[in-house]
Amino acid sequence: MDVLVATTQVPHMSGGLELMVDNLVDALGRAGHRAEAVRIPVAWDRGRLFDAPLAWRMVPLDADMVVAVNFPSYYARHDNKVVWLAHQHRAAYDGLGQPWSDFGLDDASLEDHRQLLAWDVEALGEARRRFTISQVVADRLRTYCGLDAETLYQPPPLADRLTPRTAGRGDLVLCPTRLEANKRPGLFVEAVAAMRTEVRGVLAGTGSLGPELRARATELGAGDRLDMPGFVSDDALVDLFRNAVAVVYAPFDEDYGFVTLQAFLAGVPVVTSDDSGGVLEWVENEVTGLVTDGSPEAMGAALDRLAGDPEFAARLGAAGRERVLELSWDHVVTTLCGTGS
Amino acid sequence: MTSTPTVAVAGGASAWRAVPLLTALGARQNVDVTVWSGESASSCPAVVDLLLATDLATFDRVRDVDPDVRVVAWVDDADQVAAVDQAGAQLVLAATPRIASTSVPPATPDSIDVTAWPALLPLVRRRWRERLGLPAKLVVAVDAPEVDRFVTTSLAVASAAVVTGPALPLALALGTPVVTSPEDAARLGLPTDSGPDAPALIAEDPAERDRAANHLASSPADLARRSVAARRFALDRLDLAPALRAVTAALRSSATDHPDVGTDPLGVLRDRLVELGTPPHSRIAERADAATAALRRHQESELMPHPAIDPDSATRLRAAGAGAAAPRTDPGEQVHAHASASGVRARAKSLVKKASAPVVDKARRAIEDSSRAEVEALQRELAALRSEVATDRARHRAEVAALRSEVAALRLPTAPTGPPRV
Repeated sequence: MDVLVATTQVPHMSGGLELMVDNLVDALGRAGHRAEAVRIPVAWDRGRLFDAPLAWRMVPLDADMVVAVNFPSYYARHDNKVVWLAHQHRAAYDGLGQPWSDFGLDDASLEDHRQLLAWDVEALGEARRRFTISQVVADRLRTYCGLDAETLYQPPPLADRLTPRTAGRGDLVLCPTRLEANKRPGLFVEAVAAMRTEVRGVLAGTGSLGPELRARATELGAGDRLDMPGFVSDDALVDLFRNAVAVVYAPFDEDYGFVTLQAFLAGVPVVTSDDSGGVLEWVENEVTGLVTDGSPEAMGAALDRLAGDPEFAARLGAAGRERVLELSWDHVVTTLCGTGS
Repeated sequence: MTSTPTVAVAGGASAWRAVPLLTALGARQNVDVTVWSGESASSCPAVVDLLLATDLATFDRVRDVDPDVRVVAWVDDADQVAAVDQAGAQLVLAATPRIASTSVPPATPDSIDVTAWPALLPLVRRRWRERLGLPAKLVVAVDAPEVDRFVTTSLAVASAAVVTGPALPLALALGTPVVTSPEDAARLGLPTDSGPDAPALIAEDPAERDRAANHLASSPADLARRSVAARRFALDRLDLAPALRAVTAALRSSATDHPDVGTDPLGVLRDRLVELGTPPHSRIAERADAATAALRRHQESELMPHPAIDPDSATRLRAAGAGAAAPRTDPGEQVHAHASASGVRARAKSLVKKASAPVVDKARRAIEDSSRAEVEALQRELAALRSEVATDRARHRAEVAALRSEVAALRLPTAPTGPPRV
């Protein structure tokens, strides 16, 4: 059938969501559907927040099915609208009170907030079927909008290339992430500085916090143990995962977190924080990784433990891999299209 | 139809059923309402656009009185719908929420214009309580005989509420998580099950109702579900809007002079805002208005066919294009259908220049005249100022001279120099 994947475009920005959409379109194509992504630019500031939802309401979408993946693409109107929700406008939900939320307690904020929530309930409520990318997103939807959704997990990018190393042991601790506040890359810098084991740390990714993080590493005396290569190619990333003894991934209340699944596919355990949201759906303490309180000392100690006990690390990594091996795009496609058993 | 449509209420004891509908109708458009006892055809008001029969007996009595007058009939039972429909009712309305459906919209004494009230989800209520300095968890009990502003505010900000009496429809419309009594639930046709998606919890005993509301207020996920279900129930079973739309459409369909709203492309945008439950004066409605203002202007002023486009002239132009004799537009001027674009543009420019020359001259003269007058006025003002300054200067000089001579007269003899004396 003809399927349109509705999503947003933030000009000059690309991240996990864009990868997810590309992978979905590819998977739909492999399954014999004609699939394409439809993108409408969105502005996140409150003053223009409702413009894109209204635009989606007016866009003609001629297809057999529309899969909407995020705010505000789920405002698309279609008789066969299926939502596979990556996130709503978090600044109005779990992000209230965070520095990046522009919803205050003034009259205009309160009215915009009311309007947004009422609209979300309408637009999401009219979907024929609702799925979320993780349990944490489903929980938010239930708590804030009173709507149910089924969790539908996906394999991460590079899933077919990430395999455990066959010999030797890892010699680095890795944190591949965007260098932005919500991803908390600073926790990794602090954790590397707090480690007693002489293991190299690699913070791979780009973002606005780069210079600040470099300066902090130097200040903590960890500058010579921390590499910050910036953007790394897929090949280089696969190598980094393969050579890692542990991966650190501890963003704040993450929606899903491809990094965790990528680490597991490479047979590497993950160290995280107990407020990292969707990451905790995969990282079970002492089973597939180590869950800490997010303090530099605790995270440093967790890394020391894994670096000092490679067998333990390998056991956790293998358990993690076991959990994610079953994820497949075929399952995602048949579930979304309603053609699964 | 007259310019102000007339609705006649034909009914006896059941006429009160029409009150909320007529109130909302009156709030939205100019309607004359008259009452007809329906005892005889001769007592039927002379000009009626719609006759409201608020019960089945009344419908049976009035349906054949005047074949030109459309009749709206209220039914109390779903089984009556088909018969009333067959008997020629223009529209069938549900007299009780219990039997309301898409094809039989409700118009009951408990009906409410739901979309006139905001849907307030628990997170929104929490933020309002924060703003107003109210407790994080607020449970209220409402059993007021009338719905006033205090009742409305209480229902709007509460985490959960125990509501009995006439405020229950409003509570549901606002999406208030509600606990109510079995009697009130039955009146509104609320389902008796207490499943997670039930629009209201029902409890017999007042103390039990309080306990249930307190328990409900402590469960965020449960609150959100109840809130959404309450609003949904209000929209499906209590909302006057479908009945209003149907009555308005019935009034329009008997009109011969009403414009067809279906030809309005920007109406689609308004429809989309309405279907999302957007208040008409919300910020996004105003932004949408502003964004489409230019388009709307075109839509309103340049309805096709454009007033400047005369179909007869177009016929003549078509004939010219087909090789027939070139049509004459005005003496001495000949329009060629095949004239080149640049030729037409040049000709238009010269015509505009010719036509505008006198106007331009006149404007230029006006500007020159006004400038001249302005310069003369300024010169006069400057001369006056100069003379004023000269007068002031002379007066100041005289005053300074007088002061100097006074100072000189007051000056003491010079003191002898030398060390201070001890």
